[in-house]
Amino acid sequence: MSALERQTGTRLTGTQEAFALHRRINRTASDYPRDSSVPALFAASAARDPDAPAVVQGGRAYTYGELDRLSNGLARRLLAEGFPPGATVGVCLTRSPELIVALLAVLKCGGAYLPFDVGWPDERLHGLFTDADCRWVLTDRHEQLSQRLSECQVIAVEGKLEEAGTVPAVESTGDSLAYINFTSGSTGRPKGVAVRHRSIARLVLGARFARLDADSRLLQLAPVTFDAATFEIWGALLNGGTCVLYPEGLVRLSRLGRVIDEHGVTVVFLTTALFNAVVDEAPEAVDGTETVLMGGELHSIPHVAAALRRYGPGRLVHVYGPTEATTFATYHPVDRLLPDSGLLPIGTPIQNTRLYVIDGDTLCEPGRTGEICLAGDGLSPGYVGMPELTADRFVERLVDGVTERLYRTGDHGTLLPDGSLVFQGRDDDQVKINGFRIELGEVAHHLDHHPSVRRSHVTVSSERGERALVAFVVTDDQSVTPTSLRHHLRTRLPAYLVPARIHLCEALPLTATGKVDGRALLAAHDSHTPPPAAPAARPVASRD
Amino acid sequence: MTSQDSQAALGTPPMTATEEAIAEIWRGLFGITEVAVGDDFFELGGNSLTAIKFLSRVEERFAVDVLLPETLYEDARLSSLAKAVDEAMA
Repeated sequence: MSALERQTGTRLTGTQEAFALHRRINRTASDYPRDSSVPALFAASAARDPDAPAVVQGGRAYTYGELDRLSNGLARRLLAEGFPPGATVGVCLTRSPELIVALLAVLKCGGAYLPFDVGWPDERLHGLFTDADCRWVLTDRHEQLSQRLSECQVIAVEGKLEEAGTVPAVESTGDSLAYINFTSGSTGRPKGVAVRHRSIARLVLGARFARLDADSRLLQLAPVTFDAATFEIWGALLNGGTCVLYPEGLVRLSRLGRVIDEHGVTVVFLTTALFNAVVDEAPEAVDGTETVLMGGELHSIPHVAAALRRYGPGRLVHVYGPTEATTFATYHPVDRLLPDSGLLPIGTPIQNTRLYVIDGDTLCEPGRTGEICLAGDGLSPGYVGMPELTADRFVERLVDGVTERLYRTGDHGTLLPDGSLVFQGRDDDQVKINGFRIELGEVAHHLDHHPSVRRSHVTVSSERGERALVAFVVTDDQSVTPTSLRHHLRTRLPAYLVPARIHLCEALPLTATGKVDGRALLAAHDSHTPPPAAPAARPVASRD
Repeated sequence: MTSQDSQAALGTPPMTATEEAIAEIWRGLFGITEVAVGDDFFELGGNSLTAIKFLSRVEERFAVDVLLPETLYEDARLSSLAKAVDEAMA
C-alpha cells in the first residue's frame, strides 16, 4: 500500500466547537437535478420559452430556439465527421454568439470542450492537446489553426451556420466531463482541470450568491479560457436568462458601462483587480446592475468601502473559489464593513458545497488557521494525465462519520466565530496577478531552460497597488538581453505568464535562510522612481 | 523603426498638447517623472489592467472612443498614441 493510499479516509479530529461550526456552515444541500447533463438542462430552458433571448451581443441575438437548432446543426456536423462521443474538442472562437453555439454543440455530442486562445504559442498548445488527448478543434480561424495544429481535425465555425431540429441522442449524465481548463503548473507543465456537467449545474442552479432566473442578464466578460466564463454562460442559459456577450476582446470601462446599461445586465463578475479599477476610474459603469460579484485575489478595503458607499448594501458579493471546485466555492454578501478591521471574509460555502479548515488531521476551531479544503459536487475529478498530482491534491477524509472527498486548495484560512471564512494567503509560489493564477515556478522553469541562463528568480512587485511579474536572470552570455529572454518566453508561454520586467543581474542575493532574496532584488533593480537629479538611473536592463 | 530612430526618439520630451496630456497620465499611472515620446506603455510596466485605467483616463481627458484598446496593443509608444488621439479628435 502506498503512502497516498494509507492517507485515504484518515479521520479528522478536533474540538466539539470545531465540528459544530463546520456542521453549521456546511448545511448547504439543496435539491437540484444533479444527474442531468448540461444539454438536458439547456433543453428544459429552451422548452419553457423558445423565443426568449439566450445570447445577445450588440445588435445580434439568438433565442433559445435558435441556439438550440444551431448547436444541433453544428453537433451533427461534428458527428458526421466521425467525432467519437466523449472526446475532447479544442474551442477557439472570438467571443460571439457562435462561441456559445460551439460550446453547446460539443456538449451535445457528448464531448468536453477545451477553450484555448489563438495567441498561445505552438509549443504550449501541443503540450495541452497531448495532455488532454485532444484531436478535434472548432474555430473561426480555420486557415491559421489547420496549419498550426496539423495533427488535429480542425473544423471551421465560420459564415452562416446550419440549423437542425434534432441531434442523434448521445448519452451524457451529470458525471460526464464538460470541459477542461488549464491553469499554471509549478513544474512548467500546465495543469488541466477536468470539470463535470454536474459541477456546472451545482454552480448555477439554486444559487445563493445572486438571483439567477429567467429575468437574469449575465455579462460574459471573462476570457472563455477562464472558469469565470462557466458561471457567466451557464448561469444564464441553465436558468432561462440571457447571456450578454461583451463586444470586444479587451475591456474598456466606458464601453463596459454602455453595454451594461443598453442590455440591462443584472449580474456581473469582476476580478478583484478589475473591480478596483472600476471603483477608481468609472464607478458608474456598474450602477445599473443588481449584483456585482467580485473576487479572485486579495481585496482592497478602501475600494470595497468606496463601492459599498456608492452601490449600497445588498449589491456587492465577495466570492472565492479555485478552478478545481468550479468557479465559486464561497460567497460573502458585503453589506457592511467591520469597523477598524482590515478583514473582508470570503464567507460561507455556496449551495451544495462544503468547506473545511484543516491543520494536519485536525479540524480547526474558530480563530485557528489551516488549509482551506473544499468538498461537494463542484469538485473536479482531477488533473488530466496527472494521477500523482491528483492524488496529492484530492484526498479522502473521514469527517463526522462520513467520507468526504476533499480538494486541498493550498490556500490558508481562518473561520470567524460566526462561521465566515477569512483568506490568509499561501505559503507556496502560486500568486494572483490581475485575476490570473500564476505559478512562479512555471515562469522560472522556462527561463532556466534557456541555454544561456545560469539562474533565475521570478517574483511579484507591488508598487502603488500595481502588481506585476518581475524576473531576475543571471547569465554569462553577453548577447542575452531582456528582449531576447522575453522573446524566448513568448514562444513558450501565454502573455500573462511573461514578466512585465526582466532584469539581468550578476548574482542572486540570498536571505539568511538561504533563499533567494526577492525583496533585495526588487529594491536594487526594480524601483520605478529614479533618484532625484539622476534621469539616467532608470535601470538600463529593464529598457531592453 | 531603426535603432537610430529609437535612440533619437528615446530622449525627446513630449512636445504637443496631446503628448503632454498622455505623459501626465503616465506619470500618474507609473509614478515616474521622466517620460519621452519614444517611451512604450508596456515597456514602462503597463499591463492589461493599467491599460484599462489608461484608456479610461484618456477618454475622460479627451472624449469617449478616441483611443481603442487595439491601437494601444498595436503600437504603445507615446508619440503613436498621441497621433491616434489627434486623428480621432480631428
